[in-house]
This record gives sequence, C-alpha cells and structure tokens, in this order.
Amino acid sequence: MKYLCLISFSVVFLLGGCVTMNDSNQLQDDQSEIEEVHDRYVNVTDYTGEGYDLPDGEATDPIATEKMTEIEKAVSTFFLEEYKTDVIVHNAVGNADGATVFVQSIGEPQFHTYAMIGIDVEKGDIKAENIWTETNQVEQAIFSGLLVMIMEEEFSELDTFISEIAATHPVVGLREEAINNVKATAYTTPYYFVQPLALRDEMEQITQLYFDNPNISADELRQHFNKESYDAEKLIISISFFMEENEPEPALFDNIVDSFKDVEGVPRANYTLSLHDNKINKQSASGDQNNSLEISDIIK
Amino acid sequence: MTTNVKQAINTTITTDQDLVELAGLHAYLEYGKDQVFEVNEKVYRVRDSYFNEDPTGLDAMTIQNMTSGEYHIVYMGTNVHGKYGTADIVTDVKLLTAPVPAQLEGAEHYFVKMEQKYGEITSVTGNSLGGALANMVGVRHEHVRSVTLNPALLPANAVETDREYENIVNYIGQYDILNLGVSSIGLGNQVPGARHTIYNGIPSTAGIGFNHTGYIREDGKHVSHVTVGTEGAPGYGVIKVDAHYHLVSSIWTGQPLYGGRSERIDLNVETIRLLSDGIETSVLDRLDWAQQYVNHSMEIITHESAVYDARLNQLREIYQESVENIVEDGLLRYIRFGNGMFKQVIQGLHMVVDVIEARCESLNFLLEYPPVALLKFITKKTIDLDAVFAEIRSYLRRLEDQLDEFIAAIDDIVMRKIEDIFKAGQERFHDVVVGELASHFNYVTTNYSNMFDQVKEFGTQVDQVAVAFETIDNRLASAISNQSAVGDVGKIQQTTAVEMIESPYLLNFMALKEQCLNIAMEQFKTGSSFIVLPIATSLKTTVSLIEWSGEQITSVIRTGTNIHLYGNPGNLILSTFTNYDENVKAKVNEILEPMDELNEMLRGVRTGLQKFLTNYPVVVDNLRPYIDSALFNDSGYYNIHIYNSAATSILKDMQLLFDDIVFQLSDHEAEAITVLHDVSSSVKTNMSILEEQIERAATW
Repeated sequence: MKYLCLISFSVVFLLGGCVTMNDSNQLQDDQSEIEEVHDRYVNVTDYTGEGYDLPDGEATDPIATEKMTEIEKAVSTFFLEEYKTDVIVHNAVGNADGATVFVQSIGEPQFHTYAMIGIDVEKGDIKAENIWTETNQVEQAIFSGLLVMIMEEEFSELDTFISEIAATHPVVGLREEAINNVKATAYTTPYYFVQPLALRDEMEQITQLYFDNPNISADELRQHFNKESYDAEKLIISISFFMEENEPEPALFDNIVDSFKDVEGVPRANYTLSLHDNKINKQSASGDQNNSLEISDIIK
Repeated sequence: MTTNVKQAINTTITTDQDLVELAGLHAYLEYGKDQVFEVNEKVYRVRDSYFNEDPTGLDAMTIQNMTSGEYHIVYMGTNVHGKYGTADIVTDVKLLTAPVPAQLEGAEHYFVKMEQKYGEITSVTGNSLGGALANMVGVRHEHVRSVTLNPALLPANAVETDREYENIVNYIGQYDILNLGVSSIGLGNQVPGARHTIYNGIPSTAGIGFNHTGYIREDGKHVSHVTVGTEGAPGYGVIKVDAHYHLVSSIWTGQPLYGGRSERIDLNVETIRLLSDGIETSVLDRLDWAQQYVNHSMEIITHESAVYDARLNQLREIYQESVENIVEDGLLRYIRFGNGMFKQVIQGLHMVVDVIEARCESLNFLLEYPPVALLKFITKKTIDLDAVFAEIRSYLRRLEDQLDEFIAAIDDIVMRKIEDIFKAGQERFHDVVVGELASHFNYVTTNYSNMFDQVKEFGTQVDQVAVAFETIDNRLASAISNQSAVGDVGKIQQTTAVEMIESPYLLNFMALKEQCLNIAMEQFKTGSSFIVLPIATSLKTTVSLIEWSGEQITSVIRTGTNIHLYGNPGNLILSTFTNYDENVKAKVNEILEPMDELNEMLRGVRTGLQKFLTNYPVVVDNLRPYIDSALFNDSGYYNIHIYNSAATSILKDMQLLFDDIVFQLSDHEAEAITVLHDVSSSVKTNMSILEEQIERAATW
C-alpha cells in the first residue's frame, strides 16, 4: 500500500507538473468543488466578462490586474508598431506565465483580438518586451474588419436581419462590455463574429494592402477583392442568440433559421446559428449547453 | 520509368505532427466555438468547445481541418491550477487503480456525442492526461485513430493487455520521465497501442517539465527551443525541442515513418521534385541545426584549450592553499613564499636556544664562584653543555635545510606534478580531456561537413534528375510529333565519393573525464606523497631529536645543580649556603622557563608535521572536485553532452527519413534512379557512422 501511494504521488506529480501537498490534501474536498461547476452560469444580460478564466492563471491574474496601466501602454504600442493599428486595451486575464490581453481596434477596420504578455511572477512585474500573438490571429482580425468595410452593404443587410429578429423575438445578444472584455473573435457584434482565416490568399493580399497603407479606403480595397468569387465555405460567420428568459424553443429557433435562409444580400459565407437559454458560462464566455439549439454550415 | 502516382499526395490532411502540436500546445488555449486558428499552415475551425463545462474536469474541443474536412478531438491534459483542477488530480490518482474514472468515461461520452453531431471523427489526440483520455476513446472505438504525446497510462480495467490496438499510436519523448517511470514500475502495458520513441527534449533535469509536455512555454509564449549556456560565453546557443519537429514523416506522403516505411510510391517528375524539395526544407535545415550543435561543442572545447594556463594555475593555487591549511595553527602558512611561518618558527627556536645558552653560562658563572665560606664544603663543578648546544644548533640547521627541501618538494609538486594531472598518465596530450575531445571533434567536424556536402549534392542531383526527366519527356513528346531530334539534357552534378574517417578518439565516451580524473587522482596522490611525505617524516624526526636534546639540557642542569654540602659547615655557613642554593635555583628556573617555551614550540611543530603526514592524503582526496573541474569545466562538459545528444537525435531522425528515401529509390529500372539510390544509401551509412561518433560525446 505504501508502495502504491508512493507511485501514485509520483505519477500525479508528473502529470500535474507541480502539485503541492496542499493540493493533494484538498482531494477530499473535490465533491464540493464538483457541485460548484453548476454555479458557473450567469445571465447573459448581466454578464460583462467577470470570472473569465484561463488555465494556470492564478498567480499571474492578480499581477495583470495590478499592472493594467503598464499593460495597456505596452500592448497598444505593440499593436501600433507591429500591426499599424490603434487599439483600446480592455482587459488582461492571467494565463500560464503571462496574461491574455483583450483589445479592440479604434475606428476602421473594426475588430476585437488578443495578444499575450509575459509576467514575471516572482518579481510581480510584467515583461513589456515580451508580447506575442498567435499565428495569424491578428491578421485574421484585421482582415475581418477590412471585409466588413469591403462588404459594407452585405454586412448591413446581416445587421438589419439580426435587428429584426431581436425586435420580433424574445432574444438578446451579448453585452458590449462582455465583447470588449473577453471576446477576441475578430469582427464581433453582440450577435455574431466573423472568422476569415481560411481565405488564406485573400487574407495575405488584403492585409498587406492595409499594412502598406493603414488609411486605405474601402473603395480601394474593393478593387483587390472580388466578393463574387471567394469560397463562401471558408468565411465563417457565427451567430448566437440568447433567450430573454426560459429554455430555447425549437419552434422559435426554426423560425429564425427559416427567416435566415430566406434572407438575401447578406455576405456570402458559412453560417452557424445558435440559440441558447439566458445563461452564459462565465469562465469560458460560452453559451453552449446541452439545451442549446444549433445549425451549422448554412452556406449563403 | 513509370509515371503513375500510386498514392495521391495530400498535403492538406492533418498529420501526426499536427496532432501532436495540437495536443501539446493548442489544447491549452481554450478556443471558443467557430473560432478559426492555424497549425503548421493548416487552418482549423473549432466546431465544439467544451472547456470548463464538465464536472469531471474534462476539457476538450472538436476541430475541423477546413481543407481536408477531417474532424479531430483534442483533449486537454491536467490543468491542476484551474478552478476545477482537483477533479483532474483525482483522475490522475485513479488512473493507477482498476476502475475507469469518471473523466475517462466523460471523454468517451463526449466523443460519442460529437460523432452523432458531426459524423466520423478521424482522430483524437492529447498529451499526458489528455493522452489517456484520447486512448480511452481509441480503446473503445477502433475506427478512430488515437495519436498521443507522452500519454498517461489507462486504468487496469480499461485495457486488454493481449490486444494490439492498431488504431492507437503513442509518441513518447526519449526523456519523458512519466513514461520512463510507468515502464519501470511495470505498468507499460497500460499504455495501449504502438509506442514510438521520438528524439525530442534534452537530457537534463531542467528539461523534466517540457520533456513531458513536448513544448516549452516561456512567459506563456511558445518557444521552440531551449537555451544552453550563458549569453556571451562560449557554447551559448539553443536546441530545438518541439515534439512535432522530431516526428519524422515521409517526404512524399507526410505519414510518420515509425514502425515501417511509407507505402511504395511511383517515381515521376513530381515525386522526384518532392524529394528534392524535402531535402532542401526538411533535411538540410535539420542537418544545419545539428551542425550548429556540433559547432557549439567545438566552441566550448576550443575555449577550454585556450584557458589551459588559467586552469593549471588555478589548480596550483588551490593545491598550495590546501597544503598550507592542513595544519590549522598556521605552521605551513605562506610556505609557498619561501619565508613562511615555519621558517620563522625555526628562527624563534634559535633565539630561545640562545637565551637558554646565555642563561646556562650565567648559571655556570655562579657555580664556578660559590661564596668563599662554602668553597671547602662544595665539590660542585661547572655544568658542561657545550656539546648539547652544538648538537641542538646542528639539528636546527638540519631542520632548516630539510624545510628548504620540503619547500622545494611542494614547489616541485606545484610546478611538475600538477601539470601531470592534466596528462592523466598518457603522453599524447599535455591536456588530455581537452586534447582528446578536440582531436575527436576534428574528425567529427570534418566528417560532418563532408556528409552535409554529400546531402547537398544529393539534393542537387535529385533536382537535376527531375529537370532532366521533364526535359526528356517534353523533348520526346515533341520529337514524336515533330520528328525532331531529342537533343541533350543539362549536365548532372557528378557524385563525389565521400568516406567518413574513423576517429580513434573518445573511445571511452564521455566517461573519458571520469576515467582521466581517477587516473590523475591516483597518480597525483601517490606521486606527490612520495615526494613530500619522506621529507616531512625527516622534519619530524629532526624535531624529535631537538626535543631530546632539550630534555638532555634539562636533565644535566637538574642533576648538575643538585648541590649537597658535606662535613659540618655550622649555622653560619648554613645561612650562607641557603642563600647560595636559592640563587642557583633561581638561575635554574630562569633556564627552565625558556626550556618550556622551547619544548612547547617543538611539540607544536611535531604535532603539525604529524597532522600533515596523516592528513595529506585526505587533502588530496578533497581536491577531487577541483581537479575534475580543472580537467574540463563542468558546465561546459555537461553542455557538450547535451549538444551532442541533440545532434545525435537529429541524426537518428534523418536516418529514419533516409531509410525511407533509400527504400523508395530502390529496385528501379532507370539507371539514374539507381545512382540516386546508391548515393542516398551512402548518405544513410555515413549518417550512422557520424551518429556513432557524435554519440561518443553524448553518452555519459
């Protein structure tokens, strides 16, 4: 038995990386913690991004909060230098060894994205020289904003459709604060976001034009992008509605889906439509639950 | 030659490398549903995001390769510090028991749910606990491929030990402590499916963490390499450690080459081009890294060679200081400067003897002239100590001479024997560890450079063959339709014969230093003891002789001054005698006082010398770590081992790749391909010779 305990501890240590005895002592309490899982949901109408959590962020999160002013300065300088874009830094959430910083572009192209900044936990300080972004994530975000400029009319049709749904159905979207604080999904509105990374060639060409001239006009961009010929399957637009109250109703969802299928003039894209109840997981900022209704791969 | 491609080359499908990277890196980024991200230039869409939802601690996402359409589930490993991380820990512990823990059941439920929603899932993946979750699915669903990186074991009830599990592939880092541990406690069969060792990571305790996860995150950022050495110091550099970088796959199909070669492809212009591109991008790039590792080792060796004098002098200093400190009261202090404490002590002895002698003379004077009233009653004569003092002085001079010899002996050890340490009993090098390594690396670097050129040349030849085949094909087509001549094709690079030169060095591998250290220690201990201990013994003997002479003086004085009266001197005389007797006694005491001092000093010197004799071998033993470091700087030596382990890993990878290349180029009718086959075969052989040579500087 002693032998098994020893092995157990070693294996747990290896799997967990750095398990303190304290953690092991807490094993007894796991039942109560599991109960808490069900407390992760809050009303989307109240949700502003509080409680958002990333793996291994316990040590870095308080430092990120404390050093917010420095993070803001470092990250906005980084975006201006690397991506020629002015951004507002909305939030910084601790992750393993650093913080994920949520930013929003100022003016056009409009988008939300994120960068990571290093944190020295021992010194309780940020590492301003150590900022990085996930491969092509910011490029995707810029491209999404540029696409919205290029397809102004089409996105306006989409917005109109969504406003009508929101006006005629008991549904709501995310609050602006939640988007700013915890969403990094490129062009993002309370109801949808746009992910065009799979349009690789187009992305490279259009973002390059932007980097060459950050003040480039929508008209000029249009000369380089054929909105009739791109592969619609590769432009992901994900639309989510939350019920004002009650469970998601299949009839109501069908109604929304049917209306959407009928709508014309929206961007040619690969759409996902979801309908959730009024709850959102505050840790992951996701509305997906077992009762969520969803239809994906609607190609317009 | 045939021109049919038997197997479609699909560069869009998700490879094992991609899955390993997804498991080790992207699983922890918690992407949301419909987010699109990139791995190795392939674009993935998150179809389902299941983080922070499950009470069992299960975290996973379902992603779709947007080009190939494949679906994959990526399971996250232990997230201890997450809010619900304790559920992960509970699961980790339960893996060692028989029943299947809830999180593993949850992983399967999730998989079933996703298949219901999206159709067939092509593969599941995960690292560590995530690997166990993926394998749980693989065990229960044969149609899905489970690809893991350093997986945790499954609980006993989950695995049938006699089943093959052909759908499961586990990539295990050569230095992954978890799997080394699991195997060592006999639980290896609880990791189902094939287990392939991949040569990533570094053999260092600093690497325990990232050797297991397969990736390094520094400040939250993924860095593909580990840094070795100190910036600005020789041998400073980086080693690539990403797990997927070391997952060798076919140049043609992208399929991993573990446990078998790629499916035989037909060679045509396109496939030959793929080979030439692969040589350029996959092979030469990696060989270039390995070359850098070898160069860093060489930098360290060159540096050690350049600082030979410094190492030598430092060792001399350390030896001298150790010798001086053997006797705590400082007898040997500053002995290296010729006029140290010992010499001063001898001078002190001289002075004390002078004092004693003077006082003896004074005593003699007293004895020679007793009060007149007593003359006829006393027969006492003067004490004769001249011979004894002459003896003492002669011994003191002998002591001085012997001390000079002793100093010379220490100096001889410092100058000559310490230099011999670096030779460790051989005649080839004045600095054997550095010399042997440097000589070996001269072979390695020359061979490496030749092998590198050979691979480059092979790449050029492959490229030129592709061009020639295409030209001929076009010209033939054109000749057939226009009845024109076929004409010449461009020149093809001639094959240069490349032969690896055998290195006669480092045959004892990196044990070299340890062995040299043992030899050097033994020789130095015996050699220096032989020089210094006899002289120290003589010194001690001389001191004893002086002590004995001292005793003689005391004894002579005591017996000589034991004055008795005879006859009847009467009361008057008695009082005169008493006064006289007291005067003699006072004089004797005046002599005995410095005598005590002399004895004290001599005892001190003798004890000190005895300490030297007893402790000298211990002191030499204690020099071991200093000698070890002087033979070759410890961290530099260790870094050579690490760099060469990394270079060996790359050569192992490249041989696996070339094994497939040789196989694909074998048994073809076309002569050109036969030539390429021979060259590739020679490259592979040369790589294995080099691997062996480099491994000599990697095997601890």
